Amino acid sequence: MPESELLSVDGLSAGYDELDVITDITLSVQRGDIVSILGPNGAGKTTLMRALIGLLTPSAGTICFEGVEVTDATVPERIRAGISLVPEENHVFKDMTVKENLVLSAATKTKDRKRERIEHVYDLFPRLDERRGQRAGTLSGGEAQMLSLGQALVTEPDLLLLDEPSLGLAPALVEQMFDIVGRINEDGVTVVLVEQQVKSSVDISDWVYVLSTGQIEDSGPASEIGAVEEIMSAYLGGA
Amino acid sequence: MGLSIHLLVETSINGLIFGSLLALTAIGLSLVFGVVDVPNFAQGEYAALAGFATYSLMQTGLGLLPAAAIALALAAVAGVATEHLIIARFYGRDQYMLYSFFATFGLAFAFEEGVRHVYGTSFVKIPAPALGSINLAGVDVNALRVVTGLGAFAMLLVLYFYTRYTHTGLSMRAIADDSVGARIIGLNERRLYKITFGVGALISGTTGIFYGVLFSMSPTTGFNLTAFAFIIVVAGGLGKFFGTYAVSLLVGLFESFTATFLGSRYRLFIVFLLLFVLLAFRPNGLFGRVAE
Repeated sequence: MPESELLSVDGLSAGYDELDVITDITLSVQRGDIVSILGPNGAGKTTLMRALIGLLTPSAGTICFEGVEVTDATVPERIRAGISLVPEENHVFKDMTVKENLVLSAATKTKDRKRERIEHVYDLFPRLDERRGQRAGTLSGGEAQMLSLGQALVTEPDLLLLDEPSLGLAPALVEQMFDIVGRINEDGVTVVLVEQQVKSSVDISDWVYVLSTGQIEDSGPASEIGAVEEIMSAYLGGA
Repeated sequence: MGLSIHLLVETSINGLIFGSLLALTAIGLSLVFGVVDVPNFAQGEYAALAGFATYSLMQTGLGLLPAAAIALALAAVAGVATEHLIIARFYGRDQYMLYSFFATFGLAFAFEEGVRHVYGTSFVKIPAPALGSINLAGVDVNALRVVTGLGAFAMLLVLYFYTRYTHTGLSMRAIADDSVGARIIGLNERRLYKITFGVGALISGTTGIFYGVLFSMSPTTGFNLTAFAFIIVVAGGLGKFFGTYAVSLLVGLFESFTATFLGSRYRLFIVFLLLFVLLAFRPNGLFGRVAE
């Protein structure tokens, strides 16, 4: 498949209470790629993700998705357009069942499509299938993370924004999580991945951006691994 | 001896029926607090509004059911208006909960004065058909009371299924559970706040109609219902649907037994005493979980 631009961010600044956390961010995501955004704590990775899904209104710059400007679009409009966010530290609804979490997240789908998408998530995560009637608050950390991913996948996204999916997971589960991200990508979903697990992220990525103190410090294809490692040591203190 | 058992059964049945009515206002309060974070001191006034509106509409010649339906619609509109005209101004403010509490406090007193103006201080009762009596556990009970108690229970079931199986109901629970998560999956909070206020006022409004049919209403009826509802919600543990219902029945029973055996002037005293004792031993409510 020839490469085409799915997401294009130009000169984006955003933050909280008139204080910009990220400034003048320009990046491009090609359809079908996995793009990693690496950076230390407080670099503005989560702010960038929140601006991309529409939880934050940018103070400057534009976001284009599939060639259409979505800078001022609401969250539900962006979800309908094909963007979904898996937030940092999952925000599953603890007092609701696994099934209710998925049904509610699939609200933009027609009734039949909703059922298909939920079944698709159950196929991907058999653990969730076993626990569909169980309250999400009773799930283990890994299962809750799967549910959070499932909530995004039922919307049938073209672009999946993953904000530190490995956070708080046991090492064995972290590996599994990266496998799953790879599989989702093979199904044709473009992924923007925010991570602190530098090595694992670079391994599955096509392109890497390095974010530091709210700005893009460097970028390059993940295949140029040596260059990326230099970047890492320069900006992440040898991470 | 036979007489006292009769009295016990009758007092219990009355308590359970009164408790079911209280549950409707309490669930309305709990819903609004859970979803919109507003400790709505005017919650009982939606009941009063629906009750007095039913009475007035029937004065114009309308039947009980159409009058009640219009009154409930009015209560729902009043709920949405409360959110739109008052609460919406406080979103994003630092002392949001305090502002909204005082604003609804003021609204409750303004409404109470309004009722006093229109209806005076005399008691008002909604005329209802005599349904005769049915025999429950060897005691003849006014069938209207039983129908009212069952009606209240049916309303609670409807609300329960509404929050389990409809998109809007699920969305309300999601916002109450994790408002950030709700925004991430694209739920429109502002729209749901309005709907929640409307649904909460509607469910509390039914209390007023049932109450007006069984007892008589005065300008302070709304305030009294609010006071009971706050006690129940605090004692039941916030957001616990069946917990709230169970505590409502318990409060109804206490209220009924106090009124029958000690005199009705001790009613509120005993109910508040119950709350005090309960919170001393179970600070998270009877069914509340220990804070995580």
